[in-house]
Amino acid sequence: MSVLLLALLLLAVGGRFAGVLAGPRDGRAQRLVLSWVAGLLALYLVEMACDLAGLRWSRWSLGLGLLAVALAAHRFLPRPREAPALASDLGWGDAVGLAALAAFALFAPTLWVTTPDWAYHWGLKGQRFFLAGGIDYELLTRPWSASLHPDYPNLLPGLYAATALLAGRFAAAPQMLWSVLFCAALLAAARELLRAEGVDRAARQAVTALLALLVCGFALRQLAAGGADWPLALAFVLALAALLGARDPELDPAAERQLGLAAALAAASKIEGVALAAILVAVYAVFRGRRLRPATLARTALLPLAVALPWLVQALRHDLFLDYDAGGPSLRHTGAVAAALGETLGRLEWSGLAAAVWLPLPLLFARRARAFAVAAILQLGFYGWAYLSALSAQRFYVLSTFPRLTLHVLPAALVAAAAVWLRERPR
Amino acid sequence: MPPSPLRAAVLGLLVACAALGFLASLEDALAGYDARQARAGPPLSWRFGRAPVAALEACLAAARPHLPPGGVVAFAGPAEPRGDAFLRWRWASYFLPERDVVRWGSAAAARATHVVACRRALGGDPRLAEVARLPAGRLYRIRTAETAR
Repeated sequence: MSVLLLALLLLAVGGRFAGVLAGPRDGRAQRLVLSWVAGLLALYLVEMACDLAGLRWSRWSLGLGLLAVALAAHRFLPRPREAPALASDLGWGDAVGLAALAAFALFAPTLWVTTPDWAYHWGLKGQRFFLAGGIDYELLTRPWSASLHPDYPNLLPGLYAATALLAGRFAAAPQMLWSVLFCAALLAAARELLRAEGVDRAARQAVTALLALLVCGFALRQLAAGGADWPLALAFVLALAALLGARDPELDPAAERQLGLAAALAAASKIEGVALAAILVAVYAVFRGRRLRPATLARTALLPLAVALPWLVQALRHDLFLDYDAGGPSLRHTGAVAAALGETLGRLEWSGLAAAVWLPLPLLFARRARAFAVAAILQLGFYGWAYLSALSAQRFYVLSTFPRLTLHVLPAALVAAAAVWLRERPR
Repeated sequence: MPPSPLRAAVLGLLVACAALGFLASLEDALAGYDARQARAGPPLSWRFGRAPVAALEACLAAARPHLPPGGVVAFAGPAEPRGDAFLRWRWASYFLPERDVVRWGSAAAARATHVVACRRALGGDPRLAEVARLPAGRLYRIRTAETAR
C-alpha cells in the first residue's frame, strides 16, 4: 500500500511538470509517465537537498520538500495543455501486455524473482538509509563496504527508504512493486511513442505485445525485481522522441525536455546511467548540429546536471569512488572479455530473440534511427570499457552482469526499429 | 495503405516466439517457486525463499536479540567451499541491516564484539565464549584482554 501511495503522491507532485514535458502529440498515458518520472526526480532532489543540508529524512522533511516542489511548480510552470483527444485504440496487444505485466506483478512480491543484487546492495542500502534517516555515509565509507557500490547514485535506495518511512517499517516484498511500476511505465511510454511516430494500429498492437512478453519474460527469467536496470531501460525509451527526431527541421521542444528528463532519470539511478545521460545529451547535440541553439542545449542538460552534481559532490567529499572507477581499460583483457561476451550472448534468454541486442547495428543505416543507434552502441561500448578496466575476474564480471545490462538497450532498440520500419507516414 | 501480409506474418511469428518464451519463463518461475524449499545449491544460485537463505535468515534472526545495539558483528558461515564465503557474508549483511557485519577471519573482524556462526562450529576457539545456541548455529562473544582476565 505504501508503494502505491507514494507512487500516487509522486504522480501528483510531478503532474504540473507535464505542462513543459508533454508535447501536443503526447497522449494521457505518456503524460502520466512523464509526471511520474518528474515526481521521482523531485523526491531524489529533495533527498539530496536534505543530505547536503544535514537534515534527517523523515515523513516531515521529505513531505515538506515535495510540497515545496509542487507549490513552486504550480506557481512558475504553465498549466498542462489538454491531452489530445485521441481515439481509444486498446486492442489485443494491450490485453497481452497487461496479462504479462500482471504475471510479473503477482510474482514480484514473493521475492522469488528478486535479483540477488537486492540483498547485496540495493535492498541493504534502502534499509540502512531508512534506519539512518538519510544516506548512510558511515556505512558507505567502511573499508569492507566496497561491494556495496558506495559510489552509485541513490535514486532507488532513496525511493525504498522513503517508502519505508511512509510505511513505518522496511518490508522487502512491497518494494518489488517499484520494478513493476517502472516496467509498466516503460511499456506505456513505448506504446505512446509508436503512436506518435505514426506506426499503424495493427503493428502497434503487435509490438506492444511483443515488448511486454519479452520484458516481463526477462524479468521472471533473469530475476529483475528490485534491481536498478528498470530506470535505465525506461530512460532510453523516453529519450527516443528526441533521438528519432534529432534531424527533423522542427522538433517539438517538449521532446528535448523529455530527453533531459530521461538523462536525469538515468543519472540518478546507477553509475552506468551517468554514462548514459552524458551519451544521450552528447549524441543528441551532435545530431541536432546547427539546429541546436546553445540555450536549448543548456536547458536540456540542466536537469541531468542538477541530478548528477549533488551525487558527484558527495561522492568526492566522502571519497566514495573505488579503484575500478579510476583505472583505464587494459587491452590485455580483450580476449577474456570477448570470450565471456560471446558466451553470454549465446546464452541470453530474451525468449529466443536475444539477437535484438544487435539491432542498433542495422539501425545505423536508417537515417531516422541513427542517433539512437549511435547512443546504444556507445552505451554498449561503455560496458566493454568497464569490463576491460576490471582489475580481475573479467569472465565472472561479464557473465554475472551483461545479461541484465541488455535490458537497458534492447527494449529501446525494438521500439526504435518498429518506429522506423513500421511507420505509415514517410518522413 | 493496408499492412503487407509478409509484415503481418513476421510480426505474428515474433509475437508467437515471445509468447512461448514468456510462458516458458513463467512455467520455470512457478516450478522453481513450488520447489523452493527443496533446493539447496551454492550461494551464487541463492534466491529469497530457498532453503539455505531461509535457514540463514532464521539463524541471524535468532541472534539479533542477543546482540548489543550498534557495533560490529562478525559472520562465520561454513568453512568450505572458501569461494562461497563472500556471498554468504553479503546475504548475512542483508539480514542484519541494523548492524555492520564483517567476515570472520578478515582484518575488519578485529573490530567485532560478537561472532554469529551459522552452519559452523567455532567452539574450539579460545577467543570465543558461547552466548547462545541458534537454529543451525551459535552466537559467540569475542573475549577481549579485559574480559578474558
